[in-house]
Amino acid sequence: MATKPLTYEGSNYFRQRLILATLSGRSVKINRIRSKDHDPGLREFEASFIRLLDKVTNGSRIEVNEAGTGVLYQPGLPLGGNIDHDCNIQRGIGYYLEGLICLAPFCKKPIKAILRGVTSNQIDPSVDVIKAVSIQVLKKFGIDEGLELTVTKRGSPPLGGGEVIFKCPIRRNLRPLQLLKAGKVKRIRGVAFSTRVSPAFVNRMVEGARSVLNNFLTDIYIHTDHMKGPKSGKSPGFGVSLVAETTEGTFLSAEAMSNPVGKEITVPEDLGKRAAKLLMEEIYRGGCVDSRHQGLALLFMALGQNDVSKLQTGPLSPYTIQFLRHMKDFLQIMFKIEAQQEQDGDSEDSRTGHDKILLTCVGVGFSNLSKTIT
Amino acid sequence: MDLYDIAFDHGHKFYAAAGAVRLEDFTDSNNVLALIQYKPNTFNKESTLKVKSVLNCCISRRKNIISSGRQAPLEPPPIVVAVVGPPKVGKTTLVKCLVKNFTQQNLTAINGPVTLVSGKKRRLTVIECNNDMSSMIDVAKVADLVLLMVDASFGFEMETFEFLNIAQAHGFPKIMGVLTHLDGMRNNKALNKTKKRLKHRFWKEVYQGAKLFYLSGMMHGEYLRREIHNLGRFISVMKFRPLIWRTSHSYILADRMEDLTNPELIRQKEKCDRHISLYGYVRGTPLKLGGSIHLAGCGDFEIKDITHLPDPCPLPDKEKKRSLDTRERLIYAPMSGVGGIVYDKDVVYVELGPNKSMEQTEEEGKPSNELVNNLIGTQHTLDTKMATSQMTLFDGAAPVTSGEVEETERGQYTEETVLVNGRKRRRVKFDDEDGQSEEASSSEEDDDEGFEDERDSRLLTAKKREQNVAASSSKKNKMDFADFQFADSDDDLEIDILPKRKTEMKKDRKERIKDDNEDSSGEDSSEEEATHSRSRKIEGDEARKFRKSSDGKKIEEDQRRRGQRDDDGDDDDDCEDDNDDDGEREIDDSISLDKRKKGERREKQMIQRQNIRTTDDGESEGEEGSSDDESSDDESDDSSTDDSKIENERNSPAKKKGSDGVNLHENEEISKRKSKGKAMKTSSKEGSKEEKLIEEEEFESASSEGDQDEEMEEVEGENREEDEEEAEDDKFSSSDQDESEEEEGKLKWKENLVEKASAAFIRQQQNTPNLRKLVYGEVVENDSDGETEVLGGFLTLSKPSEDEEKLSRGKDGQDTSGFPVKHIRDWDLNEVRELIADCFMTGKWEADEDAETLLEKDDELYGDFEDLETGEVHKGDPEKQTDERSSEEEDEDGDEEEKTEGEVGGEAKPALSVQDEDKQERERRMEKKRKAKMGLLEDEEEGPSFFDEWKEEMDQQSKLNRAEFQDMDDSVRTQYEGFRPGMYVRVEVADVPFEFVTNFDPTCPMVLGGLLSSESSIGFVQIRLKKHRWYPKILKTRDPLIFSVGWRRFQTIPLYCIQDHNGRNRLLKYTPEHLHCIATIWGPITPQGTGILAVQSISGREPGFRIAATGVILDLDKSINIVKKLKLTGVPLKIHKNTAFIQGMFNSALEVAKFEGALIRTVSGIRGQIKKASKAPPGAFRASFEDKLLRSDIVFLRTWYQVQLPKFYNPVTNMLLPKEQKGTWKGMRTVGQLRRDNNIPLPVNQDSLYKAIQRKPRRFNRLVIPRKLAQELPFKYRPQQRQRKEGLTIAGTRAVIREPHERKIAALMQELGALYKDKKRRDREDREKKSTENKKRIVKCCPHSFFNLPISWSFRASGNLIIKFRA
Repeated sequence: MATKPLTYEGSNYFRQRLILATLSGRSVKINRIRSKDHDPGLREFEASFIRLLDKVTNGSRIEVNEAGTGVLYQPGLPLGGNIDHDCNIQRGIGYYLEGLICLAPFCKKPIKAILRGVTSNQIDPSVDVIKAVSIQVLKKFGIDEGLELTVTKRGSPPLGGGEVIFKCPIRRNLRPLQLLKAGKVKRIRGVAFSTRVSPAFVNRMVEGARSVLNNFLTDIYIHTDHMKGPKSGKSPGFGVSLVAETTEGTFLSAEAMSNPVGKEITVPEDLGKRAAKLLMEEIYRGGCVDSRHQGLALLFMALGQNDVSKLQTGPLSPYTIQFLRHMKDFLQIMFKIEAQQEQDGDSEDSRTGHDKILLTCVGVGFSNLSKTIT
Repeated sequence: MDLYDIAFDHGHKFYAAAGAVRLEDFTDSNNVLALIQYKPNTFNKESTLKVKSVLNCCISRRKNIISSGRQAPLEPPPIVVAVVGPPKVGKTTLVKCLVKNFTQQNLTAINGPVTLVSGKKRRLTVIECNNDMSSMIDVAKVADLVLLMVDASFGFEMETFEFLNIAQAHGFPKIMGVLTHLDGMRNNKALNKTKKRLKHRFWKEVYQGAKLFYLSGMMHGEYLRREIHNLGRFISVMKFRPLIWRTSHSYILADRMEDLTNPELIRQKEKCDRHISLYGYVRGTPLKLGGSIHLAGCGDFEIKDITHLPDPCPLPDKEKKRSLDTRERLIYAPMSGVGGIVYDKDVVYVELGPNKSMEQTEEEGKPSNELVNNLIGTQHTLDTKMATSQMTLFDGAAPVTSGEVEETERGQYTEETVLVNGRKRRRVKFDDEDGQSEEASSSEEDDDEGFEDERDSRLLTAKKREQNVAASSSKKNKMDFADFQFADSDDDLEIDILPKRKTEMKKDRKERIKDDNEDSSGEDSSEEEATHSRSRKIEGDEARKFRKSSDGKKIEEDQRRRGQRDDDGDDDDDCEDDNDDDGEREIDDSISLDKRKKGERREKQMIQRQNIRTTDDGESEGEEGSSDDESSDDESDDSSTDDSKIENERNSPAKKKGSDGVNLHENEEISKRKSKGKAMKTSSKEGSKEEKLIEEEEFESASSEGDQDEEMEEVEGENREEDEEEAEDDKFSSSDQDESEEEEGKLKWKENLVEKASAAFIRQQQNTPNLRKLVYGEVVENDSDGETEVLGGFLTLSKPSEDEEKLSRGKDGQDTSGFPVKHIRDWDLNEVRELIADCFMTGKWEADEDAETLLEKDDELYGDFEDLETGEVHKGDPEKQTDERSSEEEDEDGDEEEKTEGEVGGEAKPALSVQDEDKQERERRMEKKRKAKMGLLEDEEEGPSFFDEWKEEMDQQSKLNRAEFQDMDDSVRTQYEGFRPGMYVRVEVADVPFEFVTNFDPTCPMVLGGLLSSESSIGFVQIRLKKHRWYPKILKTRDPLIFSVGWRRFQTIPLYCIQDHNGRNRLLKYTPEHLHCIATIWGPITPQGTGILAVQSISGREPGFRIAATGVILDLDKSINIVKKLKLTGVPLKIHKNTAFIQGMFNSALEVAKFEGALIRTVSGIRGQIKKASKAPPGAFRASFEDKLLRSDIVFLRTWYQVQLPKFYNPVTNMLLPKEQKGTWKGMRTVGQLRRDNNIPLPVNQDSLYKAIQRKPRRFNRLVIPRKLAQELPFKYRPQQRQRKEGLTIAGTRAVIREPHERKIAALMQELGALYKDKKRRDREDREKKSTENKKRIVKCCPHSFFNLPISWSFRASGNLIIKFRA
């Protein structure tokens, strides 16, 4: 009955593998995790992710070898319900949320997760981006009512202390998706936040960002969010996240975060400018989902019914490429990937940024096996 | 009354009610009104709402049906027609007759499925179902249409009902009943009655009006030709509804199995696991490589490989003709040894068996099988035979009929085991059947007696005619046979025979019969000749078909090509296509080596380039460039492969020589017709002439595409170490130019082709392989490598080493979803800003969404309006305008709009007066009210309903699904989509137990069920289960049961439970009767909502109904909490006032701690709570109660105990058993079974036995009230002082001794008393005597009526009678 576990090496794409294993019900074995590193084996944040997965699922078996360089994961079924998890502060809450979002619609009970830790850092998507973009991506697949992410506390690295509440409804099936038009950017929104630093920083960041963005568009509004007291976590820090919304309801995001204390000092204006430029880069890449959410969108496309789904994206990120490969292993699904056809005549004076890529797939006919029917 | 009965009664009433007014006719909104007018009395205004709801219901139901069948494949797989029934009912005969009907071929032995072409658009796979439980279950899962055969002379047998229930649990495919042995009936009347009875019973099971076919008799061991023909027509027009399980899973009904294991391995170890391949049409959803399958009756396996094979039984490709010609009536049944050519992955087997036509002539005269022989030989009808056999078997007793068989009360049916000719048959009897059928017949006889009679007479005439025909076998009558002898019933089938058209049909029929005759006579007399003359044609045809299918081209393509019919062009075009195909499929050794080398280099370059060029821009360019190379590279390789390939083929083993002889005709024809290049490759291996021709053509085709030439050169100059980048760049820049230049240089007729084929193709493929390689690079490479390894053996795997390294570097990289930007551009610069200028609203829009153009369009669309400021009037299309206006008038909410309209109109005519407006307003309001009252038209104006929108969405999606991969080559397409339903595939499976091969039985259905990714894991499955009403026993928790879930059949141990109101699952010992319960099993994860079926055992034919339970899956989980009640008891150790110390309930303080605060109770009802553990005896605790306990009280605690769930999963592996034991799989036995088998008595707990209760009468002591207390009591409550009993005097207690005198007196008195007594007695006797005499006297003299009066009698001693009359 039990099929052979899929075997991988190395610590990279750790989340993808575990998530896909859970969704497909196949066991996975990961060997040689940082085997050549000075500090071999799993890191704290990965262990924390495993613990989170253990809370979300029922009946999963996880074996880690003594050195921590090998993991065998036999997945159970996603359970959901109330989850309370202290995320490791080495990574942001975004690291955990990205994984959780993939599983949340396929749980037995609607999920209500309270996650504590670092709300935004320099490598993971901040909770603001997830709130503004990831949730929108889910909505495209028909997951909307009861989908919510609230930031109750903010926490900056290195000590964290933030808290978010994530709620997600469950679905039995997902809708197929055809997103072929990114549309034109009509407005830019954003959140500039600061914790345990002067409230003026926020406005300075906004100013910096605006100085770049005003060249393109006028409809810009960046919220300022200065958390105080216990809501502001344990460490000083500030950052800004920007979201460009298009006429077709596509959301493209970019963000920048200050260096943690003890490192080089960050100037708020520069940070704002950096975020704005990164957003421009993101717009240059284009597509119907931004580069961070390619994987999520593609996963939900693959998990649809036996229908054709199409998605236009910008250039594929390495993370996405690996995601595609993993999906082939776990779900036996292959995407048709083609470069978007140039519009006739427009090829020379097209000013829409990078060439777009069209991904097409037929869903695997996945259905939520945990959901109880009556 | 059964549930079914109730349901159908309702249904019947509904139909009856709807009979008068056909609701379907009134679905339109307008017709709603029509309906109301139609029946003014019924639908008054009050009931309009009701009508509306009814109509809505009807409409939506209809739509539901329409929208459910959305994703039918373009080339559907053959329809699976399963012939099911108890043994000796005529299944094999029916299959043979059907095959003969469709293909004009007689099959001698039928093994496994038979695929045949039944019509222009339909193929059938006919399969016969064995009479064992596992076969029945498997067949019910795959059959699209079931022909359920019933021996009418005997009645329904258990198998029929068992199968119906199995089918119901697994989605209920279409079921058509077939009654056989009708000729055994005594007379017409009996026949009619039987038919009616069976028909109604059948309807109850399936649905009211289900089709029941009557096969009235046999001739020459076959059913009547006309009847089979009709049956065939019904089958070939039947429509099917998609079943949920089958539309979400792929499956294959395998029609062939080959063992691919290395013979050497088998020699070394006979029992080694085998590597097999299975063949069949994919059905359901596309089958994907890399998934796993379940081989029913064997187990789960991973698919090693899937290959798409040319269709062995393709549909005719021409659509113009009215009917099929004989060459298109193909048949494919590899396990029965029919079908001629058998294809494999790389081989084609041609069967050179004995001439089939010869066999046919031989068998023409005599019936084929034994059963039929017997039937023909008999003098008596089956009925009479049956009767006699019963007589002899049950000696002394009356013949066994329905009456005597032991009837047990099992709901509404009884079983009767009947022995017929030593064969055990299980007849089903229904309690209500006789009476009901009698009633039914009596009541309905009036209705359709005449009709039935008519039909019967027709039937009889038909029979007679058949007999005539039998008598004069050479010459056949051209009489019109009664065409339909099946039951009248509703049809969703399209019966094209209507009474109107009957005359036409007759004509048709005559003609057809003529044709038949001719055919048959031809077969009879000059069969050989005919075949000889036809052979060429057929072979040619086959070859053509083979060619086409092997090309993997679509019919559409062919048609297109035919449309632009140009002989030479045609050839060349094909040739091109071939090249492409070859490139994908076959890889030549030498060239592929080169290719790989080149590929390596390419990749290196690519990576380098990516490294060097940091900006995205550059990257993309690089991608494009190299992509171009790749695509063209492939093509060139292909074109150059062919030479060597042909050589290879020429040197290939002599196997082909055998086929050469066969192919001789083909070659001739082909060379005559100058046919397609591919065909030549496959067929003409030795003709050097052809070879040259091919070379030429290929060369041409190669040169026809622009950059191919260049690539050819590159291939030649492979060894030279060129600076490839340069060359590529050149090529990339100049390729387009080259193309155009070369085009000009070519012949005129090629222009079209290049444009059509290459331009589109190349453009499409330009970037694809590159991106694909980027993502799936390794995989694709591996695939091709694997193939070449098999071919060559000396080749080594070459992996993109660079890529590998990069990957390994990334192995322990940071796990982040981010896509870091390496260099942020300076977005302050104008040039940089220009790059994304069009990404914003302010930028340039697409032509179709540009505001200006849209505005212009709006003008066209909305017609004229007046610009109020300038006074300019815009004119639009007058027709549209009027439309607009009329529609607007209907709109009620459009008040404002109308006002503006009025203003617009105001320019032309004077403004309306205020009064007029008021009037209008009023009218409008009235109108509105009226409509609201009608309450009908609202929906129409609300716009499309949810359902409409949903349907629309579905339609669009299915269109997209169809269109998306339509133009792709199959080899690529299958990677994305999987193997589509309708494809004929070969599935390789490894590590199959050797018994599967050694004990292979083709008559058992081989079902390969595709499993979704998560379905191969195992867990707890909760099922809503109900014991079948007909199953004689109740089911016990923990008794093993065989479940059929999804594709699987397995034995497992269910636990039954029921859910309390608070969601607690409480264990049940047995299944409740006539009630659902929840069964929890350890089994494979299967989607919720899947129907399941449970049987106790599948071995042998047990008496009684075998389906134990049915149900549906509710929930899946890895752990499930089921509890049973647990009562812990204890006794008081020490009692204080309201506190008591209890012991004996727990064993340790820890246990107590767990239950602190729990509620406890005494038997007498005193409630309390556990407080704290006490030290002294372990497990004792302090508890407080609401009252003081007694020492004799027993305290108990009610808790729930979690039940351990057994994890037992045992797949039924009946396919591994030897052939004759296939139906006797035995799994784990129940405890009861074990006890029975081993003669172990039931263990009895003596304490649990009931004993007679002995109660001593209770003695109560007298109530003693202390004197003191008594004195204080009020007087009336004071206990009374008991008085001494009076009368006990001395005289009473002492003996009296009399004096002699006194003694004398006493004696005398006694004597006198005695005398007196005696006299009195005599007097009484006298009186009585006299009175009786008097009575007699009076009776004699008095009239009879006199005594009827109420009177009272009295006699006097004198004997006079006095009669007193009562007033």
